[in-house]
Amino acid sequence: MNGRFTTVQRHSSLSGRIDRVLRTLEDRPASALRDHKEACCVGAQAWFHAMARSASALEPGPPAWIRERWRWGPTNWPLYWCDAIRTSTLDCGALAALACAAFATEAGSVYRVQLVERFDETAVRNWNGVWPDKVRTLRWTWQDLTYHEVAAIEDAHHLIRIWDPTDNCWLEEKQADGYGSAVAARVLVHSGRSSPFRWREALLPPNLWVKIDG
Amino acid sequence: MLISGCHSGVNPSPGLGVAQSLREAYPHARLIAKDHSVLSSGVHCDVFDDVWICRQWNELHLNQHRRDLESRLARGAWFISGLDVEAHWLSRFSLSRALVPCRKFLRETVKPGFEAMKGTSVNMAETIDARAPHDEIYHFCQRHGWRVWIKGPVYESKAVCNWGELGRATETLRQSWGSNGLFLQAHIPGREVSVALAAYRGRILDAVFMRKSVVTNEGKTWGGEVSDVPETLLVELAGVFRSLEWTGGCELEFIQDTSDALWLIDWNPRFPAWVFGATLAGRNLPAALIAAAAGIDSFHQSTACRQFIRVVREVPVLTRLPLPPHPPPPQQRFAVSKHPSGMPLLMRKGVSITRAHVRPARPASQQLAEVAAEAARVGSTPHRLFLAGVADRRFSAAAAHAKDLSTESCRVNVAYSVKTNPDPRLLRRIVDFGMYAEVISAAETQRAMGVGLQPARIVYNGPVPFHLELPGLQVAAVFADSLPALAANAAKVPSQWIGVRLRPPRVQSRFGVPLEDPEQFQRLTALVGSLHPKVRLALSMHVQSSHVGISRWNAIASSFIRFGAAIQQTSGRRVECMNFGGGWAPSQDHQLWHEVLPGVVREVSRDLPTVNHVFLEPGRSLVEPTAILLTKVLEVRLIAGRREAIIDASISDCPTAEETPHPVAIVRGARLEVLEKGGDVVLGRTCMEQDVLAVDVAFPRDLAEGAMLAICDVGAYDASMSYSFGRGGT
Repeated sequence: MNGRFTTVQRHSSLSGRIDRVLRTLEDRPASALRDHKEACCVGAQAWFHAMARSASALEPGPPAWIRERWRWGPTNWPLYWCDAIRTSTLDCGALAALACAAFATEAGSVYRVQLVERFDETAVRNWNGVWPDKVRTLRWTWQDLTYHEVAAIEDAHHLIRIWDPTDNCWLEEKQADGYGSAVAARVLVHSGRSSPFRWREALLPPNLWVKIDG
Repeated sequence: MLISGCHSGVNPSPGLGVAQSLREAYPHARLIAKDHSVLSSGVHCDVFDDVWICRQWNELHLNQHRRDLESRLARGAWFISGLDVEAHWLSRFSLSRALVPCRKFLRETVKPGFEAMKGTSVNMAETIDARAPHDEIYHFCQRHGWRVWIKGPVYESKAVCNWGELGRATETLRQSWGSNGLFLQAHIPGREVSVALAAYRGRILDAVFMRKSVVTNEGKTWGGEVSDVPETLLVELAGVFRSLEWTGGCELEFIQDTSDALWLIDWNPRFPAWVFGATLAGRNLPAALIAAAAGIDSFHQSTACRQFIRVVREVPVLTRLPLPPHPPPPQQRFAVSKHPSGMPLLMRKGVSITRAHVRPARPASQQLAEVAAEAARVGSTPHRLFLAGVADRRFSAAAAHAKDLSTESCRVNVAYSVKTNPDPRLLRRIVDFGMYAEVISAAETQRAMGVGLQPARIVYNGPVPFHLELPGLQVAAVFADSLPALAANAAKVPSQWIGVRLRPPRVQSRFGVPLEDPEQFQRLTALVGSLHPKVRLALSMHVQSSHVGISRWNAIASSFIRFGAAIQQTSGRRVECMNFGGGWAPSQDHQLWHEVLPGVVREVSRDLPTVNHVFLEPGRSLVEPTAILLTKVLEVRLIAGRREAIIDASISDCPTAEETPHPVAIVRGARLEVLEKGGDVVLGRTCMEQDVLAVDVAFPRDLAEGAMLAICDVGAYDASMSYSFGRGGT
């Protein structure tokens, strides 16, 4: 068996694994913070929105302050607003929900985006260890692949920029392939929109998973 | 091929990277390292076939050195310089095999003006010559929020965030580069990117765009990603370099801001130290240069990898170039730690690369001219002279500005910060000009009332709860510094407005309710919502704009207003009064009253239309120029070319001397002459090392014992915080 044949096999193996993960994630919605509809959550949201507006006055640009305030780590779901602002650790879904809420305080269209990212099995084993069994969360790791949530903003030309509030950077600036890269993406839309989003050289139809080549 | 600038330490020169690139392309080429110290680490690398160690620049006979270089070039060698100053030196001569730009055009590329780039889409960060008058430099720094860099003419830069730090950093850079060519540059927030290129006789052979991924603590590239230069930029650069008839390597350093605009911050007339990273990406710029110069058709290119990162590795020292014993002698210590290739030494031999010119001296200000006669009559010194006319003008102007900012629905008033200087002569002007007084204690309140100010014109804004300081007194507004104090004031204090001081996010302070704490925010809104309906709510912020800069202060004020709106919405309680304290400096007057405060008032009206009263709390900006300190010269001495004047005043009379610049003038009969910028210093009469009243002033030639000097702008905290020291307890 020569190296070239092995390489071809590896590609189809990865592609197949990505497909299996995407089927698993087909009906998964984006993480959403819940609201007690009482003073605790009303106050929490008011504070968060004030912080977001304050941050945009102090440091215009993406809400990098969110990640500076919260560590990334296991989060129990369902998660309420009043709990989210008091905890010191949030997972990517909660961070993405907050990022979207922060973006929404300024003008413009904001969307939730789901990703599948590729690391390696050692990294995934490590995270499985960090995430204790008793944490109430959906499965997010498969061998070397992980589920991830981020946020996107759209400009007037339907070009989106994807903000990763966990890594505190624009996805466009991250590596396009290799360790830590996105291998699939889905932009979630609740309106009746059918036109695709332009991101890098790809077209992302709303609510459909798209595999990304490196 | 001869390659200079071979040091590869934490602040590397490009020589080693150039050599590695040439070796990659021309495996059989003979590469010779040229440098001025065995401590230039790259000379020991096995990529070189030979090493030419020259004497340090300060020892070199430059003409002989040029002849030595010419003879090597005459034997067929090509020369790529990795040292900026060397490139400038070589540009004076027409050495055809030295691949450096022509001197005539090289001058168009020097900092800070970068004349060659004018007219392109590239932005230039605002700069000011370090030799400009102190007050202009101070104003520049304030205007940019004290986010500025002091930079050398070739390289080396330090970020500074206050006046004292600027003085120290300037002195450090002077030791390397001398006084000429130092400048300050406004910080541009964004990402560091670079363009590196090779050009031959005006034609760009190849160019790459590099985005830094990893940087050292000194801001040097440790890892990066190489890509094509954006097309529009490349077209512009092609035109620029064609007009410069450029030959050689070049690195343009930019900041790419959040809107992707490019700001040019440096132009290096040589390849960058990371040039081998570009070679690894398949873009061998040094090889392209040699190919063009030597007429070679092609060269070997490695497989492309867009990203690169540096590693540290040990290499054996060449036997014939052993390292000196440790510790190295002083001149070598300087060279090792900063510039093994010795560029500052070459600059001191007169290789000039600067275009900056000295600003003309300024005439004495009008305010000083008015008091010159009065100053001449003063007997004993030191003496703080109050300038009544200046005080009248400043209070009058502030009152007029506040009136201009007022609208039908929102009254804007000045509340003079009494702690700045509680001199009764100033407090009487509060009454005369219909202002309010901002106080922090019962003593200040009584002092203000002592000059006739009514309690209804007093704003209390101190950390001690008002009901403990002045129970029962009905003042205009009382601001609490904590939630318990707010509750107590609301229950016990019969004032027009009851308020609380807030600490906006990102503000380091011990004062105010911290809004970044969601628990505190929720307790605040719950408390505010529960206050008696008759309580008229007020909110206060105070951030020193002289520390954070006026732009940052403005952003914090916006942040505060947005939180005010959130408090109103969440508590269900109308906010009726807002109080803004700024620590503004007199140099910010125009920007403050014509740009910043109008914007603040508009924002209040938009986000909090229920607010019907705004207090502004100037202190320094009102009274700093209202006094000068007259002092006699006790001794003048000359040390290492610098004159030092010992005066009969001290830092105890002017305690903010290190924090803010104070113009110094000499009293000559009925005239006051402001001293120009120079190399002399004014020292106080005490034994403290920090008793330095002024630096970088130029004494008149005839300055002698008995002369009277005036230290200006001492009407604010220099008055209120002066203390008795070294006078035997008097």
